[in-house]
Amino acid sequence: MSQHAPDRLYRLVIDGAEYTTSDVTLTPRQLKGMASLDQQRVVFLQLPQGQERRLADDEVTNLNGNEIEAFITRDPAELVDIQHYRLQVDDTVYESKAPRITAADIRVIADLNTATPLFQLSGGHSRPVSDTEDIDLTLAGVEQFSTLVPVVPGDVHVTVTYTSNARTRSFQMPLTATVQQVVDEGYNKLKEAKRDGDSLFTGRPSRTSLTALLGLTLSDLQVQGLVHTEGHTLTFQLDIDAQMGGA
Amino acid sequence: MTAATHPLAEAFIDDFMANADWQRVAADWGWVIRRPGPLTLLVALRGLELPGVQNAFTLRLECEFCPSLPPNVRFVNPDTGEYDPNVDARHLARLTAPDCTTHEKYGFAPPYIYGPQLVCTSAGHGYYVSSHTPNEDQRWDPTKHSVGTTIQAVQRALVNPLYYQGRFGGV
Repeated sequence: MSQHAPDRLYRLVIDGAEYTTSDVTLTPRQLKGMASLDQQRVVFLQLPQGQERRLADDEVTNLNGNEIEAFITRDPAELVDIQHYRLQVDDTVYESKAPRITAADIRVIADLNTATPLFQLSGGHSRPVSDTEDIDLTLAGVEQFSTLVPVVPGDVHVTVTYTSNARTRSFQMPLTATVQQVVDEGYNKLKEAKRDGDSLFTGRPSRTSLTALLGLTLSDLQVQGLVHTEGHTLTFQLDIDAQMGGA
Repeated sequence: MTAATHPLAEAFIDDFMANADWQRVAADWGWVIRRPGPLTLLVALRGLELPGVQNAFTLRLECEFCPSLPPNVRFVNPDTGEYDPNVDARHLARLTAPDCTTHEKYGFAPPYIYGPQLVCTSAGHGYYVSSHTPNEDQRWDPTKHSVGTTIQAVQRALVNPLYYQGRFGGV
């Protein structure tokens, strides 16, 4: 969240020169303005182990970390001559200057904490990768990774969203699980407490109230068309609405 | 509102716009979000389909109160981005949810810069200047809530058949 004490200053480095700002978040557009650089230049966030990540001009970087954030900028024409290797984690594509990296490097590049599982996707299969594993990015195509635990056949991939803050978590449940058990696990994964007035719905955009269905199983919901099939995977989306004030 | 609060308010909007969870929610709902000014958002969104009623609406969020208080949220004419109570009532959804109710002409006292329309939700600024008192779970909390929370409060009511009653001014 973008709050800071008004008197707090954040240090950052742009192309080797240090700057201070009272803004806790900055976009590349603002960074270039701060350093009086041509707005056409491309901004990269420097990461540990010599990695870097290209930033979109409207992408927000939070300066409130433990380190002094360092940025470098390049003329777009220079980029043609720089070899970058691409990898994809979930829906986002990243670039690495190094042709071989470890899974730990991928965590840094994609900003994943050490508790997040990481799987390499290949040929329709998914396999876990350890943090010390060496990964070759020079092979044809974009190396693809996922943080989603592969679904055991017969299980349902559940996505739960706490709608007032959009926080989303995924987990698996067997088709024999009741909706109440799915809801309980959803609160557990979200680390949210149940509150009076909470409402439960299937996911967007066609939301169906689950209040009267808590005793049914996911298998029952599949019959009602509320558990969906995506490829070989069964999916179920759960929205938990915390009641606001109003009227 | 002071000039010193604006960087915080802008950053609060920046956080929402860059948040991957909110981007996914926006895509699921089909929200089309524009930012005509640093502290203003216009959001096109849809309600339930009711017979003979157009279900496309536009919200205007004014965020200068953020992050300590929520944005003001109003339904507006999509062509002008504004709300004229004399001619634009048909652009206002009739919502009766316990946590999101719309009032065409609310009697703000003292007069409120964004009145007379009131989208009454504790995720909207108008709630806090209209003699409402939230409980602790409902109160705006910038460490938990976002600009998206405000849009979501309206969206939830717009798709609930119990609480979405069409438009104030007809179709």
